[in-house]
Amino acid sequence: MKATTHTEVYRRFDGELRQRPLRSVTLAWSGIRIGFKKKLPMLLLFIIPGIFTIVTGFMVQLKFEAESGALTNMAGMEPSAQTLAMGALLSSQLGQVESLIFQLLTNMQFFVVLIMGWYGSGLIAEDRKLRANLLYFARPVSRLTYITGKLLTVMFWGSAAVVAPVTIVCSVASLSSPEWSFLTERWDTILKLELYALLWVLFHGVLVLAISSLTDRRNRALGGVFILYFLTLAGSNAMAELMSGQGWRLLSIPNNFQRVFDSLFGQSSPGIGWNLEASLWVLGLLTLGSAAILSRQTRKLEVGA
Amino acid sequence: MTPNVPDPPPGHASDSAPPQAQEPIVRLQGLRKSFGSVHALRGLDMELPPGPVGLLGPNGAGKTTLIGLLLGLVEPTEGMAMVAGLQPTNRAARIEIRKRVGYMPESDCLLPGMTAVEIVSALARLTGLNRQDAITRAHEVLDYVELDEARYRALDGYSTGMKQRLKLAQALVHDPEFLLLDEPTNGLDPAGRRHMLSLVKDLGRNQKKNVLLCSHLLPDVEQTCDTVVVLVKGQAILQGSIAELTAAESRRLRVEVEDGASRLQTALEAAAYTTSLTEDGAVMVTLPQGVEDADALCGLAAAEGVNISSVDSVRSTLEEVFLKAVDESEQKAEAPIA
Repeated sequence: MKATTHTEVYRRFDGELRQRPLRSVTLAWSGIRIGFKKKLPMLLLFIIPGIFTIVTGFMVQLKFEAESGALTNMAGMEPSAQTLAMGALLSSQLGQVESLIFQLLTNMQFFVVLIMGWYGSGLIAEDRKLRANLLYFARPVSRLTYITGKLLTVMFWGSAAVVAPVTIVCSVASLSSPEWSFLTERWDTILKLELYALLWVLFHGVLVLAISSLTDRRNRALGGVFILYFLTLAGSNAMAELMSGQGWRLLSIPNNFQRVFDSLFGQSSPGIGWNLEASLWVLGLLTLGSAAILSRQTRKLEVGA
Repeated sequence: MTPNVPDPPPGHASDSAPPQAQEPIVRLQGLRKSFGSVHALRGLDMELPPGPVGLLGPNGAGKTTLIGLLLGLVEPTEGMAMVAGLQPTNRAARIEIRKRVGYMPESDCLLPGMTAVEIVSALARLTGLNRQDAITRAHEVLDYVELDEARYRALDGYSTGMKQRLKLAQALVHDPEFLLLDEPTNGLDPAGRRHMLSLVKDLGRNQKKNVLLCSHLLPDVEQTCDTVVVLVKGQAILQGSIAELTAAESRRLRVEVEDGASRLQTALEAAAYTTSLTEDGAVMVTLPQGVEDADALCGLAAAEGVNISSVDSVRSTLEEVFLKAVDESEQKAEAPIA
């Protein structure tokens, strides 16, 4: 830098501005890049989900491999009996693999909250603290674009923690199963697993961003996420025990998701006996409330308040 | 500085609808903005001409609210704001305005962890540049603000000067026709300030950008702008070209004498002149009511035996004009309503 004057030429821009660029994707990509630069937290946060995924993948493969010997033993049986036995064995294998994937999903839930809380809690709080919102909203960026960009960022990390492992394990199961039977026989389960994982990520993304928009300190937002999540879980379970009323468990986010999970996959969890509609109402209201907070707070950011 | 830049080709982002020559770049009519009982702007009527304009005002004067209104981020309570011929009343107009405006905020506002190239190119893409153009353009504007190899480093180690230049670069990345610069010299050391002002001056004078420089530092505005608006408590208490506002006042004189400045001062004060001595030994004189020229003053000097070497009318500094306007505005506000 020269103190007296600058020497560089100002060059004019001779290109054209695109009419409808994917601004929310650009915004999301910036946020994701920042996340990738912090390698140690990334390693610490993803190491356990990574191990879970690899172990489950191996177990799924072993399940099919180990029982391939049983199929060989059926070679000497009557054709009709052989078909029946093979069908029963395959059905049992697929059921066991499904259970392994359900188990993986359940185990991942805590890490998803942790990872989304970690990466999402600073997304709006840091913008507010540094007033980076002024740079965004001085450009042709609407509130919806801003919120979508931030949501995509946090959903990327959430998806990396839950959607990606489910996809990987389902792929392993499809590839290891005889004649792609896991894919052909259980495609509806795979679809529902992915949808459930995405729903989980979307809900938590909105929730984390709403909390992040309420403060200008990342740590406070992170604390808020965990307090809301774990305090309602512990509190609702405690109240349900004390008051002997299962309805109290509706106050907890994971209990409601468990209810949705049970309904989707035909499972039954102890202590969760209420209607699916009740859980959908609770989750819907929480999402609407979070979206309203997000919209209001983003409006404040837009006007520089 | 190198002002010899070729004319932009057709289709240039800034040329989509250029303002007519000497058409005001900003037009405000009866613009009011209230936040509950707080009146941030109280009926602004003004037209800002193309070129560099200084917006002066103390904290709380309404500068940030005015910027928000110009960018279409804030809805006016009453009145109208028009930027580059567009009124930000609907979404399409607001988007169009923001494509044509480059904003350099006062606050730090840069996210740590990213490099300068990443920030500027990401903001360029948010404005609408494609990937390739965004990268090329980011390097061009970073070259212009002379952010050399540092552009590849994360922001965490940047000095205030580097951050300020980076903020200017991001405002320029889409080559806007109108630049809103909020306190660009804030926190800079003398060398950095000089450099920043030379950039602002080049943009306004040589690159023919319309610049609205918000500042509370009068010398910055004086150095870089042709026109000034003074905003106090949401009202424009003064506006006009700096040359006119600081024009020589016929009633204020600077008298240089060979010897006996204090003798002359005593004699003048006895004759109801208001005087003061400067550090270099000259006498500053304000003529009393009823005296129209320096003849009587010369007569008094001759009577005292003081030889006058020169008598000149004094130009006001922008600071004097500013302080006078602020004082008058406060007196007006304090005066009882008849």
